[in-house]
Amino acid sequence: MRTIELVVMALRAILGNPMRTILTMLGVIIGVSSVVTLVAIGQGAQVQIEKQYENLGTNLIVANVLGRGRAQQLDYNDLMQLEMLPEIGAMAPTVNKNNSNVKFEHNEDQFNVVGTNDRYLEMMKGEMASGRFLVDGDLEFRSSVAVLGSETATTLFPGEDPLGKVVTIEGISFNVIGVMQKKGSTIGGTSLDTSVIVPLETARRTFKIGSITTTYVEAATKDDLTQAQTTLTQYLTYKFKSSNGFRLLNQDQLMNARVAASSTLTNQLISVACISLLVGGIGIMNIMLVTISERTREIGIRKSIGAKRRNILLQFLVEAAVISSLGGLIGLILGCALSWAIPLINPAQATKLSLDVGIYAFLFSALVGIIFGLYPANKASKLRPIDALRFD
Amino acid sequence: MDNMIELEHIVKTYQRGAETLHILKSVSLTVARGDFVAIVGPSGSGKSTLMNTIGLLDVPDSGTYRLDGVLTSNMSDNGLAELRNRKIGFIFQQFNLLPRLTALENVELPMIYSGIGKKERRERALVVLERLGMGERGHHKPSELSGGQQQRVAIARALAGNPSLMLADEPTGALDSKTSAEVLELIVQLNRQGNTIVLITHDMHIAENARRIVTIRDGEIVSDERLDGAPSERLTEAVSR
Repeated sequence: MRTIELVVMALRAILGNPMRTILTMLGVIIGVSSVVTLVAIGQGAQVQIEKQYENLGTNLIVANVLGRGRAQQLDYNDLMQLEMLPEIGAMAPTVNKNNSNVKFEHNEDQFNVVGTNDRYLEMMKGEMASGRFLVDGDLEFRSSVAVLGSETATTLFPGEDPLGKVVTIEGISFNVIGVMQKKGSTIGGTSLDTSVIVPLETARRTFKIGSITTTYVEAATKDDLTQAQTTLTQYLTYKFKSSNGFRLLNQDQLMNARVAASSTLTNQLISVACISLLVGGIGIMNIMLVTISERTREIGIRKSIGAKRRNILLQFLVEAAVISSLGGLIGLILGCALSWAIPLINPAQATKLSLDVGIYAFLFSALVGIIFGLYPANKASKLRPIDALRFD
Repeated sequence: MDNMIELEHIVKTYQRGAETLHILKSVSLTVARGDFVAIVGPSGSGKSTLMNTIGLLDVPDSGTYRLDGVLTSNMSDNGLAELRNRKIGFIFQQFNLLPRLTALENVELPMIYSGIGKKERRERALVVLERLGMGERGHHKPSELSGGQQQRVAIARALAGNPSLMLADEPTGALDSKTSAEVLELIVQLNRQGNTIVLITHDMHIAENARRIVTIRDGEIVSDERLDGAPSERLTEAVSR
């Protein structure tokens, strides 16, 4: 008997009981559609992350001082000397005071306060919406001035122009000199939009922050990146008398770290979805066993007129495989539809469909049907014709 | 002598609890090619077991069975299935048609398992249905046919594979008397056309249409008589039409 005839036969048997068939398929449908959707979400997130780093340029290095290095303080002016080296374009050392209380009149919230220099804005690819960013003089005179992120501004000054107003950060007054444009993206966990930027030394002294923790370094050109990284390593190793006190990450490494974090989560979700696919397979096995005991007489008739074990085995195996792959196909379509609909409902959640994952999920569902159909089909094929015919 | 069936010392026992039931006690039977044998006996006599043995649906505990010259002892399940497919056409009391398939597809079924191509299968099935006066009903499901029509389809299915032996188990048991007579006439005709027929029944009137009547009781053959006259003549009297 040819395969196509077997499939047609299986389809007819399946369509004879559509409600049961759909219920049987449900597990596989849910499994496949969630795998497809979750992969699309995961890949969408990856594309989003890549896009965020893309417009930053690839020659940024982030130097983090780790716990062991904190005993040794980095001096701002010493650090800035490195800027004179040909391979280094610009440097922006920063100190952070996360979740600081920032207040204007009755509006109050927690924001991340960043103490840095005038290079910071450009290195973060930020732009000003109004006013100005920090300048050399602000640092030199340790002025109490602040530049607000777009979200910070709208929270503290709803419908008002923040320029020239005075905000208090942890109870200390700062003049607002500028507001940055909305950026949307986050770099290394710090979002420009929800920050308050003040001159570095002002922040250190006012908030009693010890050491510079994070320094953004821009290599002069893409080709200088390696050299810049080497120079920084040497300098920091010399400073900390050890290579354990700090960590250097370039753009690619930063991006990869974030992509890895996001794909770990996605992979865990996908494994849960795969388990539901397996549960769907068990559902198919269950229903196939019921089907076979209902169709014992049919098996007896077929055997009496000459069906061999192989014919019966194949008939029920194909039936299980057709159920599961039909379920897989429906799940695939559903998954594609969901992946398409999710960004429409939640624009922040990008999705990216990948054809090969869809095909794998579909093939996996067909495989699940075959594996879980094997036991019932084998059981059917082993029925003795005389017992099967006597069955009512 | 050209024998279709040669049964020698067939023994079949069943275990029921601690009790051993001797269903067939050393049954020997020979059926010639082209013959029409009725096996009669009351229920529990072992005639169904004998029929299942002849039909290769059940395997005896001991004894040898040659079907159309082929020794069937120690054959594998697959070998038996192939033999059933090629050599035996079954006609059951309950017709045993597959309810989801049309009449035509039911007739095609044995040919599917013998690997005949789709086109030839359909043609042959149509020819056989036509021969049994069911040509118009090919596309009906069994549930849309009367009992007599269903049995005709079942006979067509039995004939379609061109078997050496037709095995009919109470073929009229589920039919009214008029339809019974028609189906019986059909079976008699098939015998006249050269088919070897073994018919199992508990009804002597039906058995009298055969050329030879074998009576079985308590697992043993108690009588074996050959009837005089061609079965068709006697049938004509019985149905009187």
